[in-house]
Amino acid sequence: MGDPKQVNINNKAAANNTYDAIVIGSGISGGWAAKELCEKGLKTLLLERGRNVEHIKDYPTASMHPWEFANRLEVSEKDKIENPIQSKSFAYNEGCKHFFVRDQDHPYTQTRPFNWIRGYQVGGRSLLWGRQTYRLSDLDFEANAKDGHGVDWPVRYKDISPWYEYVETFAGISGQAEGLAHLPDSVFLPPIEMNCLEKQFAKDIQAHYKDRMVTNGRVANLSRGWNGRGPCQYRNLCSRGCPFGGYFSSNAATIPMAVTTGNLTLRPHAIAAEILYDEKGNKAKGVRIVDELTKESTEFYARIIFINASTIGTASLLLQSTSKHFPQGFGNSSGQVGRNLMDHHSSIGATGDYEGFADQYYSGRKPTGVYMPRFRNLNDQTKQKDFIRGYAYQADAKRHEWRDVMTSDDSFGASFKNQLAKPGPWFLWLGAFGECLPNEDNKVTLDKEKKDKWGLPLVDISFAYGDNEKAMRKDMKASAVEMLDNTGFKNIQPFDYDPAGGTEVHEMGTVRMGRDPKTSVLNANNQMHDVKNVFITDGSCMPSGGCQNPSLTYMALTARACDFAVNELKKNNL
Amino acid sequence: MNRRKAILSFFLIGGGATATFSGYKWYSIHKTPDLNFLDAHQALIADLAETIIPATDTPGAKEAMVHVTLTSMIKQVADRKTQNIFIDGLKDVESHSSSKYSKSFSALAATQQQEVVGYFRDQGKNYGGMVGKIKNKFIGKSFFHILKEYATIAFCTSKSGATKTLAYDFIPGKFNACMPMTPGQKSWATK
Repeated sequence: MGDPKQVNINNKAAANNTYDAIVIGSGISGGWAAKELCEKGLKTLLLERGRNVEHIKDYPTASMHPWEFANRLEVSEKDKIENPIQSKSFAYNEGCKHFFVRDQDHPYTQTRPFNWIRGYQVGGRSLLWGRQTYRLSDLDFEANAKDGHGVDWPVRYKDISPWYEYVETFAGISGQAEGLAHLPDSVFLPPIEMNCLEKQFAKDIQAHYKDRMVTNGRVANLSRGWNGRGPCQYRNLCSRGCPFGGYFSSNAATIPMAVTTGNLTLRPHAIAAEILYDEKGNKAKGVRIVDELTKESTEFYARIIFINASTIGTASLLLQSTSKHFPQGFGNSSGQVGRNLMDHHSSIGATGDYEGFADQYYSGRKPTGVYMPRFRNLNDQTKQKDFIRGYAYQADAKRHEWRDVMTSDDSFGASFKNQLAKPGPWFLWLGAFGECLPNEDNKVTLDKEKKDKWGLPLVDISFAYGDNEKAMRKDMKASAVEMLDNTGFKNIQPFDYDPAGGTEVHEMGTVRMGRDPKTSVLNANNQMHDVKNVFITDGSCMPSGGCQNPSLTYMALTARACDFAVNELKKNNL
Repeated sequence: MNRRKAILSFFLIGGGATATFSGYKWYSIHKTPDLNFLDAHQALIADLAETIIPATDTPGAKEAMVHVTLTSMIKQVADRKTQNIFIDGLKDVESHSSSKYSKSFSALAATQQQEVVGYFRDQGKNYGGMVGKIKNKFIGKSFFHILKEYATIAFCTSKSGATKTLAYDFIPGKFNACMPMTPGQKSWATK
């Protein structure tokens, strides 16, 4: 199909709208689906609801200095008013706000509050993600079966482990092998080194706590050149898009590989409005899209469909695809679509100052801190009486620089300027990321009346953290304070911003995998129980969330499901 | 968190906020701000910023054009409360300078300018801890703190401030995790 170096863009309703496969969504999992299916020889249509973002060319702020921004990267008041949800994201600033949706264009309703942070463009939030990459283990895959929350994962670590290896080998993950059973090692590029205080903290934690350790952040930033990308230049400006390809994004990594095959057709501005059902064959026959710009409807057809529209987007697409056969939503005979929405609960921990290393500094801006793997409820010795499951910490040490000095006292004049110019004392930030139990009352539904400007029903989200998360948070904060105290920190300040769900931008669940079609939507291969030629491999498929940053797991599940789907196609099973 | 919420609601419902702050004060920080005042007083803003961050062996706020950025940030980034407190503060600086020294702020010697800014710093002393946080939330930061924080952001993100007073490395290329400080080691401008 055309010049393999040239991305095929199907902007017009072509006479031939039929492909081997359609992938809905071009973010971190959709990019993988497109790459895998194209490489396996399938003519693949990649639908993206937003605009195209070409690697490097469409990173307008990537090479800008702070003084080239009108508001010096501060978020303007107008922005806060116009984008009250997106501007709450930790990543949102003047340098990357063009990769977030405008809230006014993309409203939703909240029965109970949930911050739905989105990036509607080719590459989706893979441009903006935090790039932390950790494998799940059987501690996570068995959790639901053991304590009875949610439904059992239909897979175990041994099923996913080769696929973790497969995606890591392509993506490039920097990290340090530690041999932990509950946080398995990835295939690693060299780790991004800890600075002086992080090294000291790791040493002191190990000395004080038999059950805890600190390792280098595991991150999809390239500590050396990898597959024609990178290496990381230590600018720490990832969320603007990296002109060096220093981190994994769909734009830099998977989509270019899909393009190279000559099998990819990319269709930006294509809002998936409905999965079309073929009643006779009991399968999906295609996708109806609404053009973002012209609002025209077009139908595309394919033998298999991958839905990677992001957790809430995928659930809402299924819910709005009703038919005589599926009156409560596509593939939703279980009634589970939209239920068990999860995030990780975070924004809690402590900071402390450290006396020492006064003559030591660093150069370069590393794109990760360090990581303390989960240490609660691993076994009988670490069992907690107040909560089940667990949490991990990320930590980050720096010296006080101007932003910290600015508010530290009331000085001004030459002495203040002198203070700004000199590296201040070291401090460490220690923040926890906790697992959120699946709870069917945390859910995504469609508003019965309100529509968006494309005539599609608005999403309603109803979400709250439960007692287990609240009890866990007490320990997350108290343990942070205790550990800083035990490792020689001073001026320890606990913090808890008590964020609404969604703030961590790890939304998961709503289309869960499971063993029983009556209580789950997808089987062990991310294939819909109800409709065998539809696969869903974004965050929506997760039956539980662990406490690890989840994107790596979506990548592995996607590659695995693509392999399964293509084999099934070859066997004429789909 | 609950404790903070409890204290906040005490201030809101229990009259802590309304009793301490008069109706006029409430109006003065919530009125539509006269942003043109900022454009008409660029020299004053520049001299105030220079008092916060003066030229020493490296250029100060004036050479870094801090007043231009600060003005833009007050207009674009600051909320209405902050805008009003800042503009009213500028007026107070002028009236204080003229009543104390019979001169406008810009006409004062550097030491006198320091005295004036020091006076406003002492006026604007925030309470520490939880009470300070609540005060900031309801009546906003003091003029001095607004001036100091915005001037610092504007200075440290300026080309002059970032590259001459601080150390700026646009494309480090590598990460050196621990390195001994050199004599006169400057703090990094970006993190």
